[in-house]
Amino acid sequence: MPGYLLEIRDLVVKYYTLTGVVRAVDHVSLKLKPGEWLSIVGESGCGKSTMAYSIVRLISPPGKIVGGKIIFDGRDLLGMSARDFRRILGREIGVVFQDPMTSLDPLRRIGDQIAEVYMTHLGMKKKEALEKAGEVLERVGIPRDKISAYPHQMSGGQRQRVAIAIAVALKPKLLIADEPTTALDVIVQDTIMDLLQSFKKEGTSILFITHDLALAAERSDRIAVMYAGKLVEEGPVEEIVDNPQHPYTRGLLKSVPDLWGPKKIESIPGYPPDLRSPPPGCRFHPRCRYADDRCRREEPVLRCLGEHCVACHKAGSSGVEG
Amino acid sequence: MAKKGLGYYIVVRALMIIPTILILYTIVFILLRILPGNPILAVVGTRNIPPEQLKHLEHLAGLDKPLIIQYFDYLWNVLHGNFGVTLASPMGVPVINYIATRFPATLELTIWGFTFSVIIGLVTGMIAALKRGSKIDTGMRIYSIVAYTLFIPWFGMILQYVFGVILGVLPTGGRIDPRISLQTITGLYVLDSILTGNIPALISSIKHLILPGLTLGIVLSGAYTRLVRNNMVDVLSMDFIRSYKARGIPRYKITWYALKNAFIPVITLMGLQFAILLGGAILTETTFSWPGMGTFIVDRIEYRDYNSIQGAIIFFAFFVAVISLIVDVIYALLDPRIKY
Repeated sequence: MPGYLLEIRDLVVKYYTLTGVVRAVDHVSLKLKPGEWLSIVGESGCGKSTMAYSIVRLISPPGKIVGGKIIFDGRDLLGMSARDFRRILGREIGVVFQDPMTSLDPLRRIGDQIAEVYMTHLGMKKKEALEKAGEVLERVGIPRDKISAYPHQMSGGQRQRVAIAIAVALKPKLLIADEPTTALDVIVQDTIMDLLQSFKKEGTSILFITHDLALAAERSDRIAVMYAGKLVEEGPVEEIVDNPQHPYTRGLLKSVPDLWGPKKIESIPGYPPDLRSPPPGCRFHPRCRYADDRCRREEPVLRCLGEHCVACHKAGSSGVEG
Repeated sequence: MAKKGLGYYIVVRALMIIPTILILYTIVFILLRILPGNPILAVVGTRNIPPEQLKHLEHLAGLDKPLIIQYFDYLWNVLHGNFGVTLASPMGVPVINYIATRFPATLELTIWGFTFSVIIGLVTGMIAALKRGSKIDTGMRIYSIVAYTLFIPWFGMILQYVFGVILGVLPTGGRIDPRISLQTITGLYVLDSILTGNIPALISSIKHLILPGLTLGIVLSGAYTRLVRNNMVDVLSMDFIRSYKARGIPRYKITWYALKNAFIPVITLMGLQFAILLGGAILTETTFSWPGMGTFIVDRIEYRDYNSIQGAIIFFAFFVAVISLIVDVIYALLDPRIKY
């Protein structure tokens, strides 16, 4: 058995709202190998971000992790004390969030915010930490003299680089990036993706959360597709792109425009279900054109053929082809 | 870069004080002239005195000059630091003499009221934010509205009745026990007592300050409670707080950074509140027979003492403007996003 850096086992996260219990993540399991880039793809509200936040224990009430295990580098993350966990956060696991405009403290110089990580985790003195902060800034492509700038003096792309600099400052084993490019324009998006990839080359595993399957397909080693709190398909990137088995994955692929071909864009009809009362059987069946009685009745389990796993009654049968 | 602009910013803000005071002076001047009667008539009252004597008195007070001349005469004097002399009972005392003794009294009361309001507001607001959604939170929010709507004289009298009359532990009026002699240096009795090492005077002056200070402080704390609570709730839910958590930064540090961010709008409120505070001080002073600017102005209005009222209000306004300038500068220094 190959060693995994991160293993999510049967994770269940619920939000206890006034109008009902939302099962945001419903028995999801995932594995991430060292040095691997895994993208979790899905629509808004499918539970992909909730899953990422569960890893770093940032689920706050009314949300609650009600079941499952998260094993990181041989340690049980959900079971350890807050103190022990804080030593891992920021040091072995780095996180980059979606909106760079709001993820930095507006009142503190970026150098201080970067240096703080070195001071907190390595006990460095301020001067030494600022020196290191300058180095990591240059590493993410920002001139060292920006070290005394405030966040509002930088562009969105630069701020995201700073956020990345903080996340990777201590060379974490795992970098979690939650839609880090969604708030940025396409050109900047690409340079940020290049930057993330350069850290992957240095050995950092990347868990990339996105709603953009095309973007994920460009860089990932593996892709996991989530729908309505469930993992519906997972496998190596070329398998997912060239041989998608789940009708939802196919729908996502068809909704991506192709600049070079006469491909027709198709959208998936309908909306994701209300997770307070998900439909019985396969959660995708109300939107699926292959759905039959069994899909409406019986929830499909994740079945794997080699590395490629899919949760669909129709997968592999001729019904889905075409 | 920011430092270079700060001096310029201060100069511009300071220059803005001039039109502010000019407008205020004009309004006060007009209002006083609209009021029926004049200082001489106010003193003479219903007594019958010969018209020529009345004319003579009005001439002495400069009231026979055209209004526009009176307006600029006084303005000219103020520009030279001369606030004029009282026009009625007693006549001819320099207004600045009154300001010199009355203003420290108001300042002292204001400082206490301000301090009480900020402390009460910060504590209640922070507790409400940290216990968000609980009964404590609801209680604090009700407190903030009730405090905000309290009428100072009514609330002051309740405190006087409870602590002064029923419990008999605190004095209900004045600044200090009249039997105690205190050498004044700054006019702020607490400070003077400390400077001269006068313990009885220190105890007495603090005792006299508690009720009026608390009245003013509680009434003004409501706005802080609400603002601090809402800011703190907002800041705690902000992305950068989550980012801090995701970097493994200790909790106490994150709370500190949150408080710093939540405090910025509170500083603005402090500047605004300080002006309201002085207004509130007038009501508090009359309730607690506090010999400050407020009672002075009220007293002088009865005599239609134009010079005293104009002088006191201009001085007041200048002080408020300077405080608000200082608050703005502090604000600019604390928040790097402020462009000046």
